[in-house]
Amino acid sequence: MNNGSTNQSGKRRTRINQSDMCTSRMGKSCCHGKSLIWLALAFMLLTALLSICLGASGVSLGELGRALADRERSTAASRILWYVRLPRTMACLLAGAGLAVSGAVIQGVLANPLASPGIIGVNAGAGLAVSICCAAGASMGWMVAGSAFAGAMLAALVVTGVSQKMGASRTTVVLGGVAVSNCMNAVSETITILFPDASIGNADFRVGGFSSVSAGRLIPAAAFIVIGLILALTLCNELDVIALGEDTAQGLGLRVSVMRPVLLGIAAMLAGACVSFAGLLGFVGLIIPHMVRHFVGGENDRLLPLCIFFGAGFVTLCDLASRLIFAPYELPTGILLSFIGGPFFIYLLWRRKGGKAS
Amino acid sequence: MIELRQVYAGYGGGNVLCDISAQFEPGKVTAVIGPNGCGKSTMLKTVAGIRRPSSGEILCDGKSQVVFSDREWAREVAYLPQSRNIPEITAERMVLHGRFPYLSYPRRYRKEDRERVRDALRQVGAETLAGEMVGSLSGGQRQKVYIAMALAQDTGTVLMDEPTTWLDIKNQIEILELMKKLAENGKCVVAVLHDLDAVLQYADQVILMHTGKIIADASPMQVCGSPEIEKVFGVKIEIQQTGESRHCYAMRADDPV
Repeated sequence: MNNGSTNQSGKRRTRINQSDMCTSRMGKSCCHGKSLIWLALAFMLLTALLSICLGASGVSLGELGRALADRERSTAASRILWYVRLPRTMACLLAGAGLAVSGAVIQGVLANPLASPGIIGVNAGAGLAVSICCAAGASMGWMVAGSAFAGAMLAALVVTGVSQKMGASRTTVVLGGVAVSNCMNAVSETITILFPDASIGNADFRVGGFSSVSAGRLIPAAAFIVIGLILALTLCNELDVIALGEDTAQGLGLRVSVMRPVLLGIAAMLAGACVSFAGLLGFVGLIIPHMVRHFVGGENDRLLPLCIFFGAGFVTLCDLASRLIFAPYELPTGILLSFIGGPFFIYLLWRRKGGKAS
Repeated sequence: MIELRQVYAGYGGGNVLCDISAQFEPGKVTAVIGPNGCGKSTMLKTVAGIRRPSSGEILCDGKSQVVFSDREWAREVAYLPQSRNIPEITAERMVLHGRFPYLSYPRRYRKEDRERVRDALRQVGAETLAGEMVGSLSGGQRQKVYIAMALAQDTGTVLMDEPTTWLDIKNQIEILELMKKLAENGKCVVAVLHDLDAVLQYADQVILMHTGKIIADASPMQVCGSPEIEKVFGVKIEIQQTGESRHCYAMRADDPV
């Protein structure tokens, strides 16, 4: 008897404390997640469509159809569409999806809500590799994407290796990451000064942007990103289990010492590929996973697909805005992303108040 | 049945466990007691396969641990660690991950897994918690959900590292009763406990450890009434019988041991 009544009052109390969002997360969380996925998908498709149609010269839906069908690229509209808008939109979608999933994976593997590809140095590593590539004259295609991956992986290994040696507390990983990021950024900066050519075609590399996206760079990176996304989705249960803690995961038969580097490698591959064409668009990897987790919780089989759609849609939207707000001038997308993302992130933290950030 | 034969194990260079031989039998609750840092947790982790023994062997129903893969071993032995993360997932999903050792391609949990989860939650009396976030549960509820996860793992042996520490008295009793119930259903339950009263009332077998060695391995009455236990903890222990239940009183030893 006693048992029942305490349970009851305990539950009522949580009801009251939780915001509407959290309440709906509890009972019917399953349907909730499914409808959210459709919503996110619709959001992504809508932003993609807008991004294709809007810009310095608008394309109406009718024209879009005609231009898409125009294999000869005979009209100006179709050329803009095929050579400018489509690659750019694809780049936005891929970068958003890649960075968001990379962030979600890193946060899960390190069980650290502060971690993201930008913060643990993965982006800086990729950026350094890209700078070196450009300085060495290999500014195209597979070389850049591959070395960005290598740079990202190297940074991830250094940061996790160092912090593991020092006891692997959550703060060490972040502090180590900040330190490594700074060193690598310093080297990148030095390279761009010593080899001014390296920065050509990379005008907004530091803040991240899509104004200089070319198909030559996009296609190899896209291959890396698609592979990375598929791998991440396949391993979403492993990611969940690792987040339960090392001992619990081992007890469930997951070899953490193998799976952790594998997952970090996937995250590094995703982030590296994104950085190779989009620059240091770090913020996406931090805020999108948080945003999505806020709505659906940390179950990766829902978190990752939502990260893909929301991340892609959000970056595309920001890129679109960056082209339109001060048209004909264009802001680097990264700037706008920080403008919108920063306050929104603070708002999320604000709403969470109690701070269950563990 | 789990059997340890002359097991040595530890961290880095040194051995924390020295020459451990013991048997954990199905249908019994085995309590592991001893002062902090005596190797209780290390023993559990070694049996769980998280640490490998540096020598000696661990057998499950006569088969050596080394012939099992990590995943196969996780189908024989479930382990509830003392400290763990609080994931941002629902209780149901967490229990579902108890099915992880059975997960095969295409990497999705099946209907059968979900049925097992419902069953496990019912067994620990936590059906109503299924949709709650793990982070919003109380300590006692969370412990039950963790035990449900171990049940979903469907193993012959369940290892629990201090399952009752941090819990209020009512939750402690509930968890201990649950352990007893699991043993009655044929599981081999091994738990690190600090409360000697609980050991007297709920354990069938007690292993007393000190500095990585097993000092005593016998029935609760025998171990709690032995001079060894007083020596190991450095206290005087008196057992009193009131009706059906026995109670254990520990006092400061008059002369230091």
